[in-house]
Amino acid sequence: MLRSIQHVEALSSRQISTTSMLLKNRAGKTKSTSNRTQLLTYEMAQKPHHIGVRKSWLTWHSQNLEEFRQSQPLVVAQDEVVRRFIRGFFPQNLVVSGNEIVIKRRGNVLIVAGFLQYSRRLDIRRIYWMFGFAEEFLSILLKQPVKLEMAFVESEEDVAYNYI
Amino acid sequence: MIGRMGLGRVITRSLSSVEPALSQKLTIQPAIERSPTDLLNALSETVGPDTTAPHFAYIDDPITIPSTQSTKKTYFMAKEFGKRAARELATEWPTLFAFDRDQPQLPVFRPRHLADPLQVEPTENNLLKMISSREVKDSCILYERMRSENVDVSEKVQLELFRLVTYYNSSNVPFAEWEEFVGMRNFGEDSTSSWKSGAVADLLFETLPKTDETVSIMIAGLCKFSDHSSLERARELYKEHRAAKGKVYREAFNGLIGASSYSVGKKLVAEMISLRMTPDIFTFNALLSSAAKAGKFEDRVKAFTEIIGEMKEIGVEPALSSFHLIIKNIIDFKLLDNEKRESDEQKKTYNHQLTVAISWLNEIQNSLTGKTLKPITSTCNLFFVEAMGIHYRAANENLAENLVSIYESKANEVKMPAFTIESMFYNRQLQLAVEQSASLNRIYDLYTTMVPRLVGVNNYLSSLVFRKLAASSDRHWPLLRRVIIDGIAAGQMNGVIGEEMRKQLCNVQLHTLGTSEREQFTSLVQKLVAVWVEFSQFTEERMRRLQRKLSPSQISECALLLTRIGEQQKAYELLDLLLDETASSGDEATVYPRGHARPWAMAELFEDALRKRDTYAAATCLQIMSLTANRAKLEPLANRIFEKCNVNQEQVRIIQGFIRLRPQ
Repeated sequence: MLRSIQHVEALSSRQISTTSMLLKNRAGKTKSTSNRTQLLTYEMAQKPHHIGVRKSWLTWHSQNLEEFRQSQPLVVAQDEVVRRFIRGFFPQNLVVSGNEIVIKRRGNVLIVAGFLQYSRRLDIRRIYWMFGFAEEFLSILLKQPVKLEMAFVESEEDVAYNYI
Repeated sequence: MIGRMGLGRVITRSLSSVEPALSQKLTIQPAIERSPTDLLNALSETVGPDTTAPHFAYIDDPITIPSTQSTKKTYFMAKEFGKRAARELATEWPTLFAFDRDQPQLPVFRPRHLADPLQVEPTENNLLKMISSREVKDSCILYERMRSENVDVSEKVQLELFRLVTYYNSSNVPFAEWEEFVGMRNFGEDSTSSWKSGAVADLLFETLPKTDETVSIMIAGLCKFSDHSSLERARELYKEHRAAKGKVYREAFNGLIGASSYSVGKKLVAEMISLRMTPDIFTFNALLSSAAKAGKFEDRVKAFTEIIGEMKEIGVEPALSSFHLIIKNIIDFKLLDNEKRESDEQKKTYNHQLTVAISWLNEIQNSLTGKTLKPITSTCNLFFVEAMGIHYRAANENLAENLVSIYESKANEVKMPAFTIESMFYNRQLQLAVEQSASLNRIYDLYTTMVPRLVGVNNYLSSLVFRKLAASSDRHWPLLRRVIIDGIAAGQMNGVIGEEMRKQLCNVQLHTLGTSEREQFTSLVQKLVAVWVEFSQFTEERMRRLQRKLSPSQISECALLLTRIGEQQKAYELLDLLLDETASSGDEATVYPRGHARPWAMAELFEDALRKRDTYAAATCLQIMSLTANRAKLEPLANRIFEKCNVNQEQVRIIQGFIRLRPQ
């Protein structure tokens, strides 16, 4: 009983918190390096308030418009499924960890666009097989035609816009 | 107030400036009447096929665009097999794909396993389902199972099954009729089979009553998969049925006509007419194929003329497949092979037959121009490729161009399958155009629009273009560059075409090229030499099958090209390989031990070294030349080194000693 008196004293003494506030806006801010090695793609280099001005959206559909919101949550969930599938299926070919895959919906078709890089063992037949598999798999999963429109770059440096 | 004054001033000024124009009367033109689709038509006229893009089936990226016929097939099939794997997965685990929000539900996104004939309930309904989905073998198994389990099958269902199994000869649907997977349809090959006797079709024929329909189906099936015995049987069946005053259907007649000789075929047609059956296009096609069996050229032409005349008489429009049968069979088969035409007599006969074929084709093409062409039979598309073959043989470019314009016109709905037959068609056209044309610009335009989109890069075409380039007095760097780049993509760098590439590049006169062209030349040479050197360095055990050693002639040409683009150091590193014995012997060898450096290339390299007063380079060249030349030839060369280069007494002594030791 007496032993706990010490703690009561400690609690009663008031202190000033020196921790920085966590209410700041962190989106679109990339930490720079001293030797400018941090790669920024065009998409990363533009700030969030530039969306629709200097850069575009990573998903294109009509469910954000007024009176078109019948299945907005569905679209968000589908996007996540598609992105995760592409990241998991092409792990050797991703650039910037597959964060910049663009998903476009046109009519009933879902188009997945973006950049991939050559893997260490470049086998074009394998790429074709994987494209065929991914298109058919996602089509059956989402019950709508899915097309891949991915372009290839030699390495991640090819998509660099700036180094900070 | 100021505003009003200002406005007044503006008005007076504008009035004064337009005063002379006021005398002319301004009339507003009435609006031009336009139909609702005029705008769309105008838009569609501004866009055409992108002749530089690959076929839409491929990934539009430089590295993934196939350039040869075989890579086109491989990539297409790879994509299709990927799709099939995904479908198989979804069929096996349908619950993992159970996201069912689509309305209406689309069966194409819900692949299902086919019913197993050994597991399903042996009912008529299940059998009918299998028959309607054309699962021939499965329905045969289920039918036999039903018979062994004493389940009654009604006559109607048996007839349905009989139709199916006879049409497909008790085996599964051929690849050519696959609907889902295009690759298998176009690239898969089916062997033509002969009639399976004792199979379900025969069993059903014995079980079912001998009506007009069953006998006709059987005859048609026996003729479709004909061999000697099945034909005999079909004829017997026909005779028996006719003797019993039965009527045979048109399909059976067509089958019998197609499998008989022309004289028998004519008799059968007469019998058809006596039974009040008018012959249709399939009957005439069958008659044409029976006429094609005639051994003599004159007999064939006479028969073809009779048949076409008869078709006109009764108002049956010949289909493209009819023309295909004529064109394919008009020339004697044994004369088609160039090597088999040995005697002058044979050559003369061949030329005569080719002339007749061309005049037939001319007539046919004239009759087709401007007409709407629709596919009637599955072989209609083959007419175009066969006709192009004849034009190629006769080197008739005008008719070939006319044929292409008929094929590409909007009125034509008969299309050849891409990558296989269409590619052959355009390949022949391009080869003919390249052979006939003297203008390199025209060849360049044709080549760039057709290769590799329509025509795969092939050795014959590349060497043809190289021959044209060599024969022409003009130079055409863009064409040469394009053919070489296509050759690199198509894996032609090793072998004869690679040699031709070096020869052509050595013939390029650099001073005739512009600045950017010279840069292109430099990068192309660097790329080619780097690839050849890399190929020669695959000396490790697991990579050795890829290795292509450098030959001495290749080294000398590469060194020459490198010096021309100013890379002396690399050039002499390569030339050193010729003098290094370890480079051509042992497991690590990168150079062929046989062969010699090209004398003309070495002479130019030597002159270049003298011009630069480079003693080391000149001495290297001299040493390489000494491998093939004797002392008399080497002495003047050595003297020139002493004249041009700064050599000291010691060096002179060494060179003279070296020459003295060469054989006389």
